[in-house]
Amino acid sequence: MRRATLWIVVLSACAMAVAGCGGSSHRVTITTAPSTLAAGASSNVVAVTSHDSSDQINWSCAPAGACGSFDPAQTPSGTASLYTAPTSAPSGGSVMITATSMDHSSRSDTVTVAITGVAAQNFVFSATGEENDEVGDIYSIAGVVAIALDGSGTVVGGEQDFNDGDGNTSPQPSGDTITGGSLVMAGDGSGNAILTLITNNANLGVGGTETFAVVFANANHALIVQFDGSATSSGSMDLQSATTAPVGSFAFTVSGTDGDGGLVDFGGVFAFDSSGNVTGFFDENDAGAVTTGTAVPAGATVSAPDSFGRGVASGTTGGDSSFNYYVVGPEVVRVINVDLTATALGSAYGQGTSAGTFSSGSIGASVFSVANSGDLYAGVGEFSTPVVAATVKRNTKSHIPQAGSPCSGADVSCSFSGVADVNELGGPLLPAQAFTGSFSISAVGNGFITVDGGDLGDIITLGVYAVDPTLNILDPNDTTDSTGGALIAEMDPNLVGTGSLIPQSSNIDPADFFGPYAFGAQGDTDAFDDEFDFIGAGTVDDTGAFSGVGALSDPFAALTDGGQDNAATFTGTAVADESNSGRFTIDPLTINANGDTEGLDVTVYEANASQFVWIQMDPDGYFSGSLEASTAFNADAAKRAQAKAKTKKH
Amino acid sequence: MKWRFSALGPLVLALCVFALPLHAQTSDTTKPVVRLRYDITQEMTFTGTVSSVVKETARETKKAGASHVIVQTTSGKVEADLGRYAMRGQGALTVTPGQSIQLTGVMKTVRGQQVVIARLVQANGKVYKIRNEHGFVYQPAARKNQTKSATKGGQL
Repeated sequence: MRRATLWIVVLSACAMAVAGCGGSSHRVTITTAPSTLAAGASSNVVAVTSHDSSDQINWSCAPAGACGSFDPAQTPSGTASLYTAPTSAPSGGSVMITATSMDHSSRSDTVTVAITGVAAQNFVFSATGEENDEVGDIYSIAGVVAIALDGSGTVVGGEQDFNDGDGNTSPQPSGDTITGGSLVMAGDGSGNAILTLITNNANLGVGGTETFAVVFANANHALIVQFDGSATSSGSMDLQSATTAPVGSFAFTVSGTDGDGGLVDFGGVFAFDSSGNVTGFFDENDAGAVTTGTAVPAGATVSAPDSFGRGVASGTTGGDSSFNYYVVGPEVVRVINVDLTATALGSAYGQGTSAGTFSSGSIGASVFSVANSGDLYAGVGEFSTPVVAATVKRNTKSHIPQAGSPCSGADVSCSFSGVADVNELGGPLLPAQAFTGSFSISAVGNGFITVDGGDLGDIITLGVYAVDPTLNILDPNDTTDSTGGALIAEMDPNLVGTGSLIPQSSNIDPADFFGPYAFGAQGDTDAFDDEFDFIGAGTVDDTGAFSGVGALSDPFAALTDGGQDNAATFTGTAVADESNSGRFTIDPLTINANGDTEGLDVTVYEANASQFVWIQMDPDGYFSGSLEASTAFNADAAKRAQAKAKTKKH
Repeated sequence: MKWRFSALGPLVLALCVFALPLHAQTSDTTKPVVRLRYDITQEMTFTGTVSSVVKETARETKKAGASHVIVQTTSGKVEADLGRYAMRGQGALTVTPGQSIQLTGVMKTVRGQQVVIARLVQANGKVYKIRNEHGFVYQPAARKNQTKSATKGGQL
């Protein structure tokens, strides 16, 4: 009897609840949708239901069969579906998107989306460097550009944020709108290109138009340099594979300047829940003052991204700091600070299913690269497979590995040894420095590398933040090359900078440095400590001869006689270091640009057959960057580049 | 029951992952002795008269970067490195030959030459903060913000 009575009560309550919520007050409202979308482009759509948070939304559109698609076609209330526009504009030039309650099919909402006639792909770009203003401010830029897929290279839209923390910050919260522009590929098939972005912000670039020199390593990934003389910077541009909010654990690093005008870097691990709440911790180096393990302040949040995958992160590093983020893919996000008195740029990479299960064994033999053009230094190097160096540091109940065994276990201290090149402009210049050290990684994926032997100058302690072992840090859309590794951030009193650890292949060979590459670098010279940047495409032949053509941005005449030259040539011969496998020298790397010829002493380290990092090792200048195997380059272009280089040389 | 585990297993695992507290590993490793780039305990103060000013070094001068000022003191001439930004932008330091100046900084050897890495410059009745106590050069924006608050830590 008691059970029967209880069922009656429960059923009555349910009936009343259903009646209460199923009345005329139940509504469906589309809260996020684009008003205009390029044919073939994708954008988030979100709808919410009132009174019934468990209700689902069914997505549909008209005209049927020519209106695009939804992924997924059914979502919980408040959850985004990725709408992809049809590949050509339908009759009438627009589609109607309808969100319908699954539980109350008479309840729906609609929006009309104008479809522009050109299918487009979105690319996320970001770069940091030196502004060519009165003071040479450090600045950051990040955004999304939609480029037509019809082969015209037309820029059909986009948005971005620019920030120098010194009076030139894109208006918030809107950012800048990219209203047009073009991507013009070089005619030689080298993968070089010029990207022009017309913005609605006359304070940027030249009268609101920004120009970037670009080199594609493949169809989904490029290195970029701002190239219009208004500023110079280096960064990357990657195909946007998702626009949904980040969820899960992410490792991140950012660097820039803070409100006091001092250099600052951060590194840490954040977790984003499905409501946009942020928890985690960060380490911080505020112009030499290091604090570690600071909890993310309560209340830190990220907003849902807009149709271009741009959202706002608030309160993540304390105070009233504001970051905007741009989604590259489900596990990769670029972040840019948009405070009026600070500037910073960085990335967050997902930790995937490894979140919470990292260990010191997560970091193996690696190539590292760390730099900061604001702090005028770079260091690159490699270290070998770690072995257990000491006892377990924290959890004494866990297994204690024997010294000399492969290193594994959370918080286990592992030793390593390696070789590196460090150039602190005006300070230590340290080629081929043997070094030793130790590190440990927690289950969360963070830890510290400490150099305790050899001389890496002021590089002593680095914060380490492990990423999803299936992610490619340099090229997030390519998982065929080396994956995994970690982001790193200086936690030294003498240096501020960020970089990455890329796993080093166990079978590297000098013969690997062969074939076509996209390359880029950012550097400074001691001519007033100003910056230069370059990108290019080139080849290395079986004799080690390196020959490339690209774009040099040198508005301050730091390296050459000054200016922007998109027919710069790069030649040299790579020589394998017989004492240090994976290390090469190019001395000189001859850069011919702006009517000037400069010979630079360069060192290259191999992470794997497709990914290399390099550093300039001259006392009056340095650069650092990467060389990435290119599928966007053809042999004919190589021959033309070589012929051009020879012509210029003689 | 098997179906329940197969259905609930991934959910439980996902919840466990999100429930994991993100405890940071703090830096308590034994650190080697760090040679300070700017050792504030070695600071000295120089008072004198400006002999010459190099506002922007050119590549051809082969000097280390940044602005330099040469000061005649009672014990001889002293060259000071003022950093990349001291003489750039709004509120920048301006000094001319013959003007009185006081430098606070650390003497270092740069390219075989003794140079004062200046942290503070007193001139024109003002004290200009060129670097922080770790030797990091202040960006120009700092001039505006330093007057607003003594410090905001590293908050961006």
